[in-house]
Amino acid sequence: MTPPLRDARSKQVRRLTELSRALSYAVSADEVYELALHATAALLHADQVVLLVKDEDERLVLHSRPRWLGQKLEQELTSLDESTVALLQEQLAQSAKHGFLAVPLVIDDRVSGVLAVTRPDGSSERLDDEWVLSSVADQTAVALEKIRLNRAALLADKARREREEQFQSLYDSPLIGLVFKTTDGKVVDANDAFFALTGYSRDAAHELSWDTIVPHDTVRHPERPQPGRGSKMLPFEAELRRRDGHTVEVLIGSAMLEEQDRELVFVVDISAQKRAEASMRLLSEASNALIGASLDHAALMKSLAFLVVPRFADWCAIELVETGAQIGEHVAIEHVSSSRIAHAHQWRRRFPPQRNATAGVARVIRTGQSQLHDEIANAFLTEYVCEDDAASELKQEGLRSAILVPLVMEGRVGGVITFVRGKRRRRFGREDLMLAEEIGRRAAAALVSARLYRQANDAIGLRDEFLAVAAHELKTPLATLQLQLDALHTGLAASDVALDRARHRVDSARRQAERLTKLVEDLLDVSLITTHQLALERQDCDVIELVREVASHFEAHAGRAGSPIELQLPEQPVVGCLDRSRIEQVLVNLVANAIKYGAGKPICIAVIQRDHKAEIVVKDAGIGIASKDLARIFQRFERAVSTRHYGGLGLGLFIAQRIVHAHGGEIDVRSLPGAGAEFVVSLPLPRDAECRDEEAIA
Amino acid sequence: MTRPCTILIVDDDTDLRDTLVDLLSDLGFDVVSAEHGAAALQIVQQRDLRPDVILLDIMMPVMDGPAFAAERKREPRLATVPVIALTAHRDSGWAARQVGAVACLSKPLKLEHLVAAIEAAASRPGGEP
Repeated sequence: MTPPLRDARSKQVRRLTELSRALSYAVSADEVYELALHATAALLHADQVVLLVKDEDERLVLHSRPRWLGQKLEQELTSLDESTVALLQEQLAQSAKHGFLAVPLVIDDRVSGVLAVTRPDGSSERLDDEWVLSSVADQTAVALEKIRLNRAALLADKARREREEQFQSLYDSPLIGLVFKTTDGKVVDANDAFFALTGYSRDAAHELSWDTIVPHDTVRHPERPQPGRGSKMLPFEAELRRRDGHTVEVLIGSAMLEEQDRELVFVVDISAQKRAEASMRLLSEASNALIGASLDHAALMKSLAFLVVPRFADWCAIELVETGAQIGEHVAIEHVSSSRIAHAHQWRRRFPPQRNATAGVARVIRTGQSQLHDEIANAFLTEYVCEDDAASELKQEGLRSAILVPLVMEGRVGGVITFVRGKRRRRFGREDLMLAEEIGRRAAAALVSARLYRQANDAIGLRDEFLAVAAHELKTPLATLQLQLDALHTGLAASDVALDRARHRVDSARRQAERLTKLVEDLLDVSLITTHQLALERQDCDVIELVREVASHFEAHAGRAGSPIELQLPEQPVVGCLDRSRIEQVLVNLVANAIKYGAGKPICIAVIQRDHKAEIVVKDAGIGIASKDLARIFQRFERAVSTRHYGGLGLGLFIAQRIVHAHGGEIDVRSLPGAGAEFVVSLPLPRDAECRDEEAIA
Repeated sequence: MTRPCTILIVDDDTDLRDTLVDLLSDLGFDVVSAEHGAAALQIVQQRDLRPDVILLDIMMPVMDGPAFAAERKREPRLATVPVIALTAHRDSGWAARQVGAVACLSKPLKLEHLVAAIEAAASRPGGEP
């Protein structure tokens, strides 16, 4: 070796040593590429250095110095092997002016890249050059492999750390209970969430048996797979038994751990979800029950109470309240133990609800607000019943929690539902209150529908009865009219009818026509009153004179009925600006009733003037009116007696009252069964100027 | 007829009652009337009356048609007397059953129908339908 050559070789060795050291410090693949390209160019005085390698994502990438302007090799090549090297060599041969050289980068007998050069002079040092290039390629391959391994190790470490963090956050989660247990059911470790769920302390963990916490018979999964190494079980629902004996609905999943002979079990409390499902189911069934139930209020509420006990409460009491009442009447009581229902009814009879109670049903009725007593306090019971004896009896019932909700019907509290749970049940909470209120709303809607249906039916029944009565009333005078006309017809045909007989029959026929007219007028008046079209035509009139006329009109009829009319009238006229014909109508209706129901006893009509008022009293000594009927006799189509015994449309008092009210007056009745009735019409007596022209009667 | 046919009219409507008395008297019947069942029973007992036909209204105060019909069976003078129901009820069959009537006439009445019904009833051997 000549001295210049030896120097050159020595320089190459030094450069290679420097490269080796630099590569050992390289921390990235790009740094390795840069070092390799730079060193190759310097060592071999190359025109072009090309490094073809796989990047981190296993794609072929071409690095070059100066920049490679030839064919895009990396797109043509799909893998790195001997053929790749051959192809690269072929490409380099085409572009090289003098010569080219290419060597593979090999790791573990696997080609991981190609390093190649083109040179201006490729003759004298070819073998050395190949040795140098191979040396650079080997060092580069080792450096790249080292970086790849480092990176893989870093990534693996990062992934492990992430997995550990994820598991830790799962382990720390208050929502998911995690348990490590042996395959024979011994609890080895568990997280705080699990201990919170079960009520056991961490100290007692080693004594815990899985079968005690999740009894096998509570598992609701028909095909629970047998656990095996590495197997994952499908999640299943079960009941977890807490240390205090209560049960919690849970979802359980597990996986066998490979490394240890252990099972990792996760436990999720799904009781809230289960309760929500049960609530939805209960509401849906309640709606069905209320829609499909009878239209009778009591039957409707009984079916509701039956539905909610024991699913929602141990006790359910429903009471309905009449308008204006402060306490209601129990229409349904239900209890988990049916033997307690009779006891509850008995208790209620002994201690009827107090209007002045500051808690409980009376308060809900007053305020229309629901009440949630999650823990029933003794003070509440005392306030509820207002009596110490009753409160102490209630305390022995073991009541834990109560909800009271109003039944709001058409804007007023029409009833109250009370739900109570005993000591063995979970306390009522906010979500239970919401469910109870929804049940209350649906029950109230059903009650309103039932009431409207019943009212509509009653109205139809009343109308039908009225039509039957009206037909009867119209037919009776028609019967007389028909007979008289038949007789007249027969008599006239025979030409033997005496004049006085004919006159008598015509008179009778006219009376029947008048009766028919009166009936039709009453019907018309009702129609006008109902549609607010009946108007007053006021004029000065003397009430005394009017009473005399009406009494005179009824004299014969009253005499035949054995009820002579006695008049008690002041000497002086009693004058006011009244609708004369309408007041006459009032008197006619009252006197006709007095004769009809007078039981053949005398009738008295009295007029008393008090200041600017006239009081007209029509009094009979007949069958009288029961107190329960007094309020309704002024209503349309109503009467206090059976239509079986007494005819009439049931309109007279209704029309009379409306006429008196239109005059600004009042009509009142005092009566006892069997002791007659006294109707008092109190009429203001306005002067002419004070009269309004027309007032509608409504 | 060997003796005048006696008719007992029981109806609370004075006009109709008077008209029936008037017309049937003119036609040669012996007519007695009462405003309700109790009054009719009283008249029968006081006068030892044995009518041949009873014209009976259904709806009346004090004692109505069905109640009178029940009492009739306990009164030997009336037990076998045929009853003709007078009714303004829509269902005359129902009305007839209520009082055990042999015939039922709906109001308003035609005179010739009434007379025909009375004669048919009076010629029956017994009072029961």
